[in-house]
Amino acid sequence: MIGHHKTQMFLGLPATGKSTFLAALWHVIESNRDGLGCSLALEELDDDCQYVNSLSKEWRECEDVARTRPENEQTARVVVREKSSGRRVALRFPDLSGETFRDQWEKRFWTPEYVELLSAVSGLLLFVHPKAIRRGSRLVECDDPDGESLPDVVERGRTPNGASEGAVKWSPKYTPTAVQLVELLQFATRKLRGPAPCPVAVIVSAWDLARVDGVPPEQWFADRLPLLSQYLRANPELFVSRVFGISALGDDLTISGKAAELAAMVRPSERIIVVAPGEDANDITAPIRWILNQTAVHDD
Amino acid sequence: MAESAQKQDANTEPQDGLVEAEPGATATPEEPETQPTPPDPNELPPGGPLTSHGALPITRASQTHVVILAGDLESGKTTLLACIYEKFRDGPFAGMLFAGSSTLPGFELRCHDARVESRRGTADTYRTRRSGTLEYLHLQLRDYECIQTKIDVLISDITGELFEEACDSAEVCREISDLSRADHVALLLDGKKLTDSRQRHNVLRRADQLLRRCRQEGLIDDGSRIDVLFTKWDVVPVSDSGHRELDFEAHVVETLSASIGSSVAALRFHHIAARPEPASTMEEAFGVEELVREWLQDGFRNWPSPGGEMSHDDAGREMSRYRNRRLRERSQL
Repeated sequence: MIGHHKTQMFLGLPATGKSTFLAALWHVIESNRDGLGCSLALEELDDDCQYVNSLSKEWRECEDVARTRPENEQTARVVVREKSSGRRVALRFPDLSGETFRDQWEKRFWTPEYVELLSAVSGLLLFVHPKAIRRGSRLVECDDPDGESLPDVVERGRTPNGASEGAVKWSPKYTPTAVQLVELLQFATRKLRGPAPCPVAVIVSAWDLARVDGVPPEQWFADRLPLLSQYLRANPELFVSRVFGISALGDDLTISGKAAELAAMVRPSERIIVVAPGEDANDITAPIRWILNQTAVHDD
Repeated sequence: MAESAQKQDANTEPQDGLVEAEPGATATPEEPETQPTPPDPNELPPGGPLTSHGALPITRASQTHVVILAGDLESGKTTLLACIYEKFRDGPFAGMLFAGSSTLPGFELRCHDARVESRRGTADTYRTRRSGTLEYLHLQLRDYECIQTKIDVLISDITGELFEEACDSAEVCREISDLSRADHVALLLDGKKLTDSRQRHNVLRRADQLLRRCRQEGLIDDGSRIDVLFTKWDVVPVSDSGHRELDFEAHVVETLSASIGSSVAALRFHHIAARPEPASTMEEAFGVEELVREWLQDGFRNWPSPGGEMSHDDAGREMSRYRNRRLRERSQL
């Protein structure tokens, strides 16, 4: 017997890989005949699968999955069976645009629809993309890890007599990524109704671009987003978290020939990279299953 | 649903989460593009500094460290405040984890001019605007092992203009009534001016006069903890002995200790350099971690400190502690 849908919401700023993840996830669950590690088996399709099918089509064709726009936000629904326990679970994944979250920080506004979603959330997948992290480096630091060397920044800002010209006034858009994500989680705690602590699967997307030899995802996360890492750690009453390094695309499609190389794989699931202790290297359902296990004790 | 499940009630503050400041009780950060809008139930808190009234939900919900920074214009108040926040952005600091803040945009506004995004050639600091009441920024912290309950800290800086006016006028001084309930009052003395023989006496006179006036008006008393901070310590010259020495420092300590040392619960002196000059070899946030640790280890105002009654320092004992601390610093150079 299945109860109401368990809502696992994807939370993340623009261009952090939420829709790409959903595209790959849908392929793996829906096809589930690839034979590769997938801990969730498809039981029932939703009446309307157009949205997720279109995402997965782009993913299978090794195209960049189109970003979700605020006007095109959709929710994916599916009924699955956990292979390990046999438990049937109805899941729904609201695929919200990154702008929805960015607006909460910048405009200090959220919609009634979002509030209603929060009240049904049983877990969060929090997306961060290694190429989309604004660090907020201080001028006293040696280098600007955002790509521009400090001397270049300084030179561009100087007038011929050495004074600063063209200094930019503060705007919320300049806020470091970690600060924005902390605020989004702080806002979410106002309306979460599910059992506490709320499971948060931190997804470091495009892990193929982020990985450094020997550095596990949780260490990468603590190093690159220390404020957010501290916030999750200091609030165990509110959140329980785990970090997953995931590449849904499998590689950098901008590199010449990579798309063709990936498309040539007989099993598209083999493209997927998942890094987390004790997890199958291709099982993109791992964070979904982890969230389900965190909340399973409350289901009876 | 298991009985042990913990639900978060929509009609009360989030369980163990940040307490929502009272609506309309925040000061919005500078946003030139923002136009006034009517109240909207979908609006989120602006996240700017909190007035003392706006901070009531925080102080009512938990024991809160209230810290007030005072000092001349450009003595480093906002720089210190920004420094503490930036150190938490880097990672755990002073033995604590960052557990949240109701005023993240307020901090961000104050840090921006020292970041790469500001496109400035050199780091600068946001100038705190004068307003009718003190405005606080908020940090929620937790011990590294998450064993103890979370601690709330409210930090405010008195503008340099208000500081000067308070020195001159009892009426203005009385306006800073929050001083009487602050757990810590930090008086910042500009180290750069203290190295200037023509400015240092004015720095000392204003500091001494403010403390005397605050005592006279009942804003500081035997429950007060005063931290005197020699800021910009990186510009203090290194003596022949190889240590940074400010020849006016002992006179400052002696004068202020004699003025109020016996009237307050604690009078302490610190050297800090929140944002040393780029050419300096001194590390960022010099002295700040020790300062924050002391604030967090102290008890709360009018509450007995753990293990006994609140101590009263006389000038002589503080001078001894000061000398011992200087000796420790020298051994670390």
